[in-house]
Amino acid sequence: MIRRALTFALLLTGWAVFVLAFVWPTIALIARCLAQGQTPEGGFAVSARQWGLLWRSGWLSAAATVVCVMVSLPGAYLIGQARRVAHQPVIAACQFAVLLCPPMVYAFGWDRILLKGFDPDLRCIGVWALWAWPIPVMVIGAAWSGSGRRAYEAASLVASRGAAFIHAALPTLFPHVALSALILFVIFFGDYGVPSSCGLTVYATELLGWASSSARTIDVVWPATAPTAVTLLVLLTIVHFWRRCAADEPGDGAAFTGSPLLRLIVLTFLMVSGPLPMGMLVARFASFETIIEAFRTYAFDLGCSLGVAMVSGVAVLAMGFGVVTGTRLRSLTTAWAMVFGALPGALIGEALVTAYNRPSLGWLYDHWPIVALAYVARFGWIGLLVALLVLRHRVGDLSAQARTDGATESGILSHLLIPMNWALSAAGVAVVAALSLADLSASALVRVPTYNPIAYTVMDKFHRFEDGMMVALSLWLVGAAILPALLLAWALRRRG
Amino acid sequence: MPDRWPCSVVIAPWVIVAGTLPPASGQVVVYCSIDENVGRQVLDAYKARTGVDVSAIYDSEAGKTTGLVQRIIRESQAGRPHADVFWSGELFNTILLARMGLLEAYESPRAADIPARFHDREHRWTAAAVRARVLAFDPHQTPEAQLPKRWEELAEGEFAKRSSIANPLFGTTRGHVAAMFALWGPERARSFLTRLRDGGAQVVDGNSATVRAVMAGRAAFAFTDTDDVFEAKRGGASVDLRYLDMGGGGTLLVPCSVAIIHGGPNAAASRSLVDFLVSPEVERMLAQSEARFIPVREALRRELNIAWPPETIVDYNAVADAMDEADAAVREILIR
Repeated sequence: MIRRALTFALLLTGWAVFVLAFVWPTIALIARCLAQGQTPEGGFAVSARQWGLLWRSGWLSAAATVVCVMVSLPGAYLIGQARRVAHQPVIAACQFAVLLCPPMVYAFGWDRILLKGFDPDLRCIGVWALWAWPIPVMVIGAAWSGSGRRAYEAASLVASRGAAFIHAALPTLFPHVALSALILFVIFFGDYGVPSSCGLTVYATELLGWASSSARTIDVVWPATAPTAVTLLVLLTIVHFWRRCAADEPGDGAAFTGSPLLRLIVLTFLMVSGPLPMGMLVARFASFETIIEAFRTYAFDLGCSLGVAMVSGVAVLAMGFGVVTGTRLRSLTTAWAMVFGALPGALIGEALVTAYNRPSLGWLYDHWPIVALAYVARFGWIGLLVALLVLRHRVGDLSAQARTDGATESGILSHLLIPMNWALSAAGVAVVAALSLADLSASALVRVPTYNPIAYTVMDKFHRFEDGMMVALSLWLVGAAILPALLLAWALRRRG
Repeated sequence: MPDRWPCSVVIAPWVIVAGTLPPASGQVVVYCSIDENVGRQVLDAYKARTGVDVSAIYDSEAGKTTGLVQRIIRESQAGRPHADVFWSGELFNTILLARMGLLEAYESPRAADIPARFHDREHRWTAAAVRARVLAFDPHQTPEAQLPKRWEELAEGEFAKRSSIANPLFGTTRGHVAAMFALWGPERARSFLTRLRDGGAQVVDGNSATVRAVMAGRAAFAFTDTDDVFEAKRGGASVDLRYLDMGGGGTLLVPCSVAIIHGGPNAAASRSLVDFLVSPEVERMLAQSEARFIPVREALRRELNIAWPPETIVDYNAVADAMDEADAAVREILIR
């Protein structure tokens, strides 16, 4: 009875979150556009400046994606050789720690390392690449541990190693390389924090300005169309590759820890990604007094930001499991979340304001749940993808046995599949929480009086030239990221 | 653990967050476009003195004051203003809000010693503590002798090419361009924008970004406010400022403004907060802050030994009148 109630609660929470974050804001946004008029103030023409910014966003994201994938290859090989992430717990946890820190913090660090006058475009590309490279490591590493290595080992029996890699292994890795590249592109294309920290104006920057200052919804919706179309196209391609990659399982052969040289290369990348820029910040600006003062002044905002980010992560996963379990609407809900993932953060904020800025909804609009809904709307697609990954195991022997014993589909999910895949689920929560913590665009329009999201405070300190306080707050954020990474390392060690 | 984890995972964070956040009822809510570090210091002082819980939403770098103004308009139009007090880093948008009927009339007794031109005739807003629009430059890169003397000179070839200006649709730069329209007339102001564009001036996303462009050597001149230069200098940057002539030998001075939102949820408490925000005590705090605001009270300037900068006398209402035309010109000429 209690199990059923818990399962029902999970499904109900999932659907409630989906309706609040996606369905109602979509309806409200469309209704407002229709009511206010469908012609933007400046007409439908796209200005040269808009094209220029769109071009800059595109090429910066593309360049960072290429660099990021290249940087990730040694790590992907190392993880792939080990068969499972669990066999390289320290490397995996370090990568996770790098990924969980807000990337703008690294931008501040690199600002101090690089020479005055260093090209801001290159800095932006470097910061993105060195922050996000753990993502392709995981995706490409998974491919190498499975079909890639199997194909390579089989081909190397009859051909040279080089030929075997190029002709047999590379084609099997291509979908995963493409998948990780596309995921990176989507993340970079919609980011506002890193370009802003590098002194660059990109399309997301300008769009956020329009969303903040426009009285009419269509004036935000129309300029958002072009980046949405680009991102949606990329996301659809991701789904295509995802389907091709989803069936790949790790091989059964022996695990290798990788050569010492390879481990050294990966560890060097890790050092350059995280500790180097952070160390430079600490060495140049942080003092113990400032760190304490930062905590004294901003402990409440920091705690609330972490709490709301965590809630968002959990809500995204609950929503993912809730809406993909035992329903025929799975494709529709996934597509809906994908579309929201493609929307610029500014437009998501606009949709939420339109939906909840009503006298009867003050309980929501004035308080932290509106901020959490913004994060869910922006990163909800991650929860759905994690849920779909977990659901792949529904066809396994254990699930069939459970079904024979009378278990329902939702029961199999909550009592078999999720516990079996808890590491993946926890990683999903952590990634969404980390992205939420660093978000500056989706939540800009729905800020609440009760607390100030810490990402805005850090950015404000940067703009106000308060370097000491900026470093101190960044260190607190890093501290918050290291804790789940250590937990992950511990969990992976146990599992490994 | 596996049996109960979905429940605990779903519920626990909500409990944690619910426990950390205070209820919003009974607070005074301020929308504040004064810099967060300065604004927080002042609001904390008020909280300590009165015990009233003050919650603030600060502006973001992307939307600046304009973002908060749009928020006030949308919330008022939806029939439920959420803020009680608007404490702005500039005046022009406050005037526009007053004209839209979104501000409550209130004559604060603590503002009696503020000069008349910093009061609204209908008592819908009070202004105090000014910043000046200035040119920022790196004295190690650009000798004083090579600096322009008038704002208009910045649109000339070499100067324009090496200049950096924040997007004039936001913040104090928006008021600055509108003031050009009010003072110079549309033709001259449009010509200035056109020459600035043709000369290759960089348009970046904020005043502090213009100063950073100078610090990084990407620009030689920045259109900015005094507080950005003072804060950069405090951080050790090699930057300095110059007051350029906008007409009549001085530059534009931009005062902060305080107003009560019409229909805000805590009307009585908001008057007490406005009394505090327009008081000499707060003006002193602002003058002594890192942003170094300039008091409008002469006695306070004498006491703190602060000189009034060279000023172009401009009717702030006329600047607000010119904003729409200036915005349209900026969209047509500079941000296109």
